[in-house]
Amino acid sequence: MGEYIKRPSTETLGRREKRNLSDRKTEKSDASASKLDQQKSEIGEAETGTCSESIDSQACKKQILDSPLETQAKAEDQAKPEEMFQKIIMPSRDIAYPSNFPFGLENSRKNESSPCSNEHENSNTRPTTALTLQEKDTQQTENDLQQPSEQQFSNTSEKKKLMNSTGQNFRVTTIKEPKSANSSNKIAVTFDRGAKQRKNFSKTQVISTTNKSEQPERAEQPDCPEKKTPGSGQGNGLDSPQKTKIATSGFSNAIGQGNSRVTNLREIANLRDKSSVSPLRKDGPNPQANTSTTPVKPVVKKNDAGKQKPKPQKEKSNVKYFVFNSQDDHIKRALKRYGWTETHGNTTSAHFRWVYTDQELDYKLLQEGQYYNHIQNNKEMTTKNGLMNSFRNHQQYGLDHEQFFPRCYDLGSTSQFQEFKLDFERVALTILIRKLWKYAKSRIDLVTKIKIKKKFEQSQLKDPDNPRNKKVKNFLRNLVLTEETTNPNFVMHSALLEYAILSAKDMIRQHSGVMEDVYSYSLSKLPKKLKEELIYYSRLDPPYKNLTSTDFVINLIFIISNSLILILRKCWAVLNTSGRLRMKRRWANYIN
Amino acid sequence: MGKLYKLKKQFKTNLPQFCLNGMSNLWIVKPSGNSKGQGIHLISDIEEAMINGSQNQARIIQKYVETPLIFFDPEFPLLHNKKFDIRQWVLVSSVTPLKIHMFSASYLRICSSEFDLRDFKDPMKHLTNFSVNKTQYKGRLEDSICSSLEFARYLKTTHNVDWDTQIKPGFVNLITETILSVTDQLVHKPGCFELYGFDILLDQNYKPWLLEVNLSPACAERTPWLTEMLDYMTEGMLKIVLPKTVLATDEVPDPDSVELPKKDKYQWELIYTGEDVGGVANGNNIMIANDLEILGTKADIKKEKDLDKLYHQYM
Repeated sequence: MGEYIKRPSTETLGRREKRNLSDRKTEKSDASASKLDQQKSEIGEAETGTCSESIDSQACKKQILDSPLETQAKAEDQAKPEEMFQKIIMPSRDIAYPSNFPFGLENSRKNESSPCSNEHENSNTRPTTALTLQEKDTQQTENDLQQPSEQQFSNTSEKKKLMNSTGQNFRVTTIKEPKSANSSNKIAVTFDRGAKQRKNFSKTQVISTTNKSEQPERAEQPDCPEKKTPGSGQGNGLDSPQKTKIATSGFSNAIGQGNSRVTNLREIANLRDKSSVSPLRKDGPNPQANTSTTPVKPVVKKNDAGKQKPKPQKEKSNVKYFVFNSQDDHIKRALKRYGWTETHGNTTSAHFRWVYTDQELDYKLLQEGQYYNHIQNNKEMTTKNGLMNSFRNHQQYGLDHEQFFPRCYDLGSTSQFQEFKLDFERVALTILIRKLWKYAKSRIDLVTKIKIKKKFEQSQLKDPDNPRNKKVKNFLRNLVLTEETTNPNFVMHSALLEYAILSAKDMIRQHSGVMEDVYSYSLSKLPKKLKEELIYYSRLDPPYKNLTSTDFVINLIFIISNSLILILRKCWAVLNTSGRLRMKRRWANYIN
Repeated sequence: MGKLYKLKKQFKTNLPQFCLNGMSNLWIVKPSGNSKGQGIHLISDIEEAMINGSQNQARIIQKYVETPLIFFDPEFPLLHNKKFDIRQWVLVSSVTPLKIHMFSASYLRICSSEFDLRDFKDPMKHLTNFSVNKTQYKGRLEDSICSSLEFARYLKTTHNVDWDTQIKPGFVNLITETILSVTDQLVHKPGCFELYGFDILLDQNYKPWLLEVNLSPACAERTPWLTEMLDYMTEGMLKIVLPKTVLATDEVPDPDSVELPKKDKYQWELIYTGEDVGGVANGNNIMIANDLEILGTKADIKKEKDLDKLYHQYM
């Protein structure tokens, strides 16, 4: 990069002109096979490009009429090279904005943000090719008229290389050198123009604006007389984006209009013969330029650019587009690694779509060979409601979702809410039983522990050397007697509870085979007040200190026995109201 | 007491969801359409549920898993006394025939606060969604997730639980049954595929429970290993979904050339392949595929009439 910058500007100027000439040469003499392909494609570009030129031939004539001044300009160009480069390069920034070309947006962004860094990327090489193409298609016509005079340039291949390298050099130098006040002004101008153009999308509109935009610019720069050559360069740069656009937007039938265009071209060429070409020829075979340019790298880049450029026109082009609207950057990354390109506008023709949420219309528009990251009706699974309903529907077909999906109910439907209510009560009941069971267990354990302690003390008195006593001693070491254990009420509770549970279990034993029906037990037949109490107790932890002892115990046991009765739905008929009353009386007797 | 214990056992065997019931009657309310943990809250009161149900938005109420797998291990501080669930990627590459792929690796999403059933109003203790715990994980994003590979290693070494034999089959079963239950509804179209994110919770007995299925699972790349996992995941997915010829471009004519270095821990596994029902697009029309047969003999009307006459004569 650095060496390019240091180079004298006169050389680069000479090279630029040389490039034009070498282009002519290469077209005339068919070079290698690899270049042939390039040329074909480039010619295709050029032909479509001329379409626009025929329309704005007026503008071209204007340019050419001014061209006699070029010889003057040449001298001053050497004095103020930076300005000139600025003018040449700035259009290239305008080139790559997209209207319907999917590459465009990104490339243009890249150019604006970091034009130097991405030298190896195709995005940078494209604008230069656009320039050359533009120049070529004007000079292609000159070729036809000036064939004999061009024999001066014999070593075509070297010059081609030269031209490529210069193409690169232009970019680099101009970006690094814009220091003069004039050049900065011009930058502003070109950007404005770019903004104007961005608004226009239709072909004709775009062309008309460019014609207009060229003229005011000249008016803005009346001081510098050397504007003609750079002006023409700018014109080229200006026209080229539209040409690329036209070319890419699929006006391939432009070839059919070739005849009409050729006449236009010849008119232009005739005009140019008189003025613009002659100075070029003088500077063309400049020996200095030959010696100074050595780098070979750009040749490769040129080839790349040649491949890139005509992609949309090639019939067998293998460019894959994807549409991306999601936060999953990893998908984007992977596709870009495979060389896919992202589009923003034309979504229906993309090969691959990755979007966050799907829409019904997307499935209708989906064609063969396109890939889409959604399956129609996926809402059956991905929404909570859909998943629940699909599980419910499939319950009868033997899919046992109970094994892996926590049961759930739709709060919107009344029937399911009733189901939920039952479930809620059922859970409350089981929690209550479990809590009481745990509590009773701990209490009863303490009672047994006290008994053991008493036995131990007795046995120790009888036989202190018994080895068994050691074990018991260890067992009792951790035993801490709290106040609760001394309170007879709590012991009573647990004993009662145990009795209640045992009696309930007896009933279960009497009616064995009932457990199959366990799932359908309910509390619906309990009185409402009792139900509420049950749910209330299920939230508390025993011992229930705030409650009066006797009433609570009676209630509690009544609830438990009832709940256990309710588990045994088949026993319901057997255990009628009298049975329940009898039980209640029995508990009461026990307490008193 | 022993009898009551038996009763409890009977409950457990007959009610598969008995073990979900903890000591507090907790239920979780979820709005149907929302994502990222919006509108989800826990309730333990039936009146609250009624109020929720009367609101116009579609809501479901689900039993809250009160006994999740929680480790009390200060040596593994990432999961110490914290609830977590597992985000499993599942790819359905085609509907007919049904093809389900499961990614070998997944990641654990961890709550930012310590698990506590008594304080069930605090979402940071119970919801694993990153958007809920975002504020707590500011500056220490690597604590919010844990690789399943690391988790499996931890289980093997300290708890002697093998991921591949004890936990993974449950995952496979869960995923296939879930997708099978909706296959009738899914519409087959060539070129359509879908990546799902299954949120799976493990309970005390290492049993997996499905919480929900996510459409387009959002993956914020929080740690380098997750980025790597995602890269392998996407590459594998693209290779399954897109044929090689489709994947190739001008720049990369051979997709294999840009392949990431192969790693056994990151790969898609085909866990279910449905039968290829020849050409029938919808699952409802399977019957048409078989030939229909009519059995029986031709009715002889004349004979029937004669029989009728005889019958009437004898009557």
